[in-house]
Amino acid sequence: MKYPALPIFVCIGLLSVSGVSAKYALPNHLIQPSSEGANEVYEEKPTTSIVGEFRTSVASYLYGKAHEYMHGGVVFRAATDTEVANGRRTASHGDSLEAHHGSQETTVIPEQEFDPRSVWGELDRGTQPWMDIRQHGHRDLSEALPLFRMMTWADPHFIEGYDMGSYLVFSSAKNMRVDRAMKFLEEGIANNPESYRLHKSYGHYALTITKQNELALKHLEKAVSIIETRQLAKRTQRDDSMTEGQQRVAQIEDLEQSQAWNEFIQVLRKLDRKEDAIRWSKRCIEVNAPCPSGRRALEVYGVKP
Amino acid sequence: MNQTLTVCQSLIRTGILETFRRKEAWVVLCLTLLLTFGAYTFTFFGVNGLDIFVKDMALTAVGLFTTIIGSVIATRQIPDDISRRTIFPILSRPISRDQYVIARAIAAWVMTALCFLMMTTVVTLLLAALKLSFGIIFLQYIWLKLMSIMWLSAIGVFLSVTLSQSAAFTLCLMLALGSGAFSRTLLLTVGEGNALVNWIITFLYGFLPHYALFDTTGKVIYGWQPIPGLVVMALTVYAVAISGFWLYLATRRFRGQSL
Repeated sequence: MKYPALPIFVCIGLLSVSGVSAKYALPNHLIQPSSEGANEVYEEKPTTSIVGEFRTSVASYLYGKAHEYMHGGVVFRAATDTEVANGRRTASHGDSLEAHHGSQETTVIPEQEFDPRSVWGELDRGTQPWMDIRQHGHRDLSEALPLFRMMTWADPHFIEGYDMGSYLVFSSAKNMRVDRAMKFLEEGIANNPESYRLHKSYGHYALTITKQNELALKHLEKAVSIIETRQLAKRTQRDDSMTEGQQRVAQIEDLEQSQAWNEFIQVLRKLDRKEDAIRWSKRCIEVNAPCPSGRRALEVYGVKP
Repeated sequence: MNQTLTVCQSLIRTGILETFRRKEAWVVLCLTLLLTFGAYTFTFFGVNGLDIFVKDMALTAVGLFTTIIGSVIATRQIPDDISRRTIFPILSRPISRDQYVIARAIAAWVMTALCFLMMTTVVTLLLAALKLSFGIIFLQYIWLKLMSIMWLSAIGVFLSVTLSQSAAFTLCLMLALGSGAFSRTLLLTVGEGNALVNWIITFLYGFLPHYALFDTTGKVIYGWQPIPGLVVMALTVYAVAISGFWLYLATRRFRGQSL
């Protein structure tokens, strides 16, 4: 070889480039956002989109796997409007685990009466995991829980992982452990302090399960304040040009926000903070028309909406 | 028939030696072990209860690498013989071109099956060492995998006498790995169309590669009950029939091909 030291220099050069790249990438990586409003940072920081995409992909992959694990490998998908209109079976639950997917989901492999493939369909149902999605049950959730630990390690800004993971820790028949669920959420909040969903979930457990009203107030107030600051931007985004999928996401967000508002007003009432309850109830009705808790609060306090 | 079997034996022997000489089998075996053990290493960091995840990774790796090595072996059999000109001494014996094509396909099937069984044995032993095991359904998994490898070898040989070697490999791999996605996508459109469209789509469905139907990984890792015997039998008949169909096309094509 003419230059025997060349490979060593090349290695040193590559290591230097890697080090500089890592140093450059890391700060941006650390500010990789939560799934709430992630797009802006991905658009603005090229290194975030390169490094962060890998972590987000791993977390999303594990999230999909966890969904499969809960159903013994049966793969679900959203039912189309035509399928729903034609009476295709959609998800309902035979146990207490109710909030882990939308009710408009169906199995990827259709049931016999909606499967035109006859023999092929039978073979498919015979060799692949399949079940009647109506009143379906779930496997032992302790098998899926480690995946939530792994996905939040892979991507600490994967809010869905913290939110759903804490719900599963709490809902699992064997592990009805609200303390573990709240601890997991605390970690999520520490990594994503501006996530209204995590504050809302934490406040929900504190309000309804552990009955820590002051703690619930702190987190629900934070959740509502985050929603308030984001409300205008979100509203302008929701228009007729949205696709069906985007509209569904927007509906879920609306529901989450509505729950945060309702529980916030409930905790204010529990703590006898009448003036605050009236003020926030009026605000809730103004921004969030149905707001049952707000209307109820105003009715109880004898105030017109 | 006896003559075909004699040629098969000879081709299988040389094929196996070639596969191990090229170290393909060892590479996929090492990768499978790395993936399986890699999944298990999460337990070192305090994440317990990953049994299904480790099994999932193990069988996914076995399935994926079997498909890759099966496509490589099946699609290189005849083109390699042609490029090295070893096909001339083989065909100078008193065997027909049809016998040669069939013998090559059988040789590819046996070689891929050996690689698959080797990977499965090693992975099963590794999982047993990690105190993880599969149920009775695992035997059905092995049988159906062998049937799917038969299909893969037949279609691989057909593609190799129809297209260039690299194109045949790419297409073979795509058809095998994408078969599930093709079927599911077509199935999704069935729910949206009218009766006529549904009939056409269902008719087309029969011509799609159904490699994914043989993959019972999902049922094995989640410990489902064994598959009904009738389903296994139907799939076996289908595998033999479809492999015969592809081999028939391959022999027809190879008969008039200039070397």
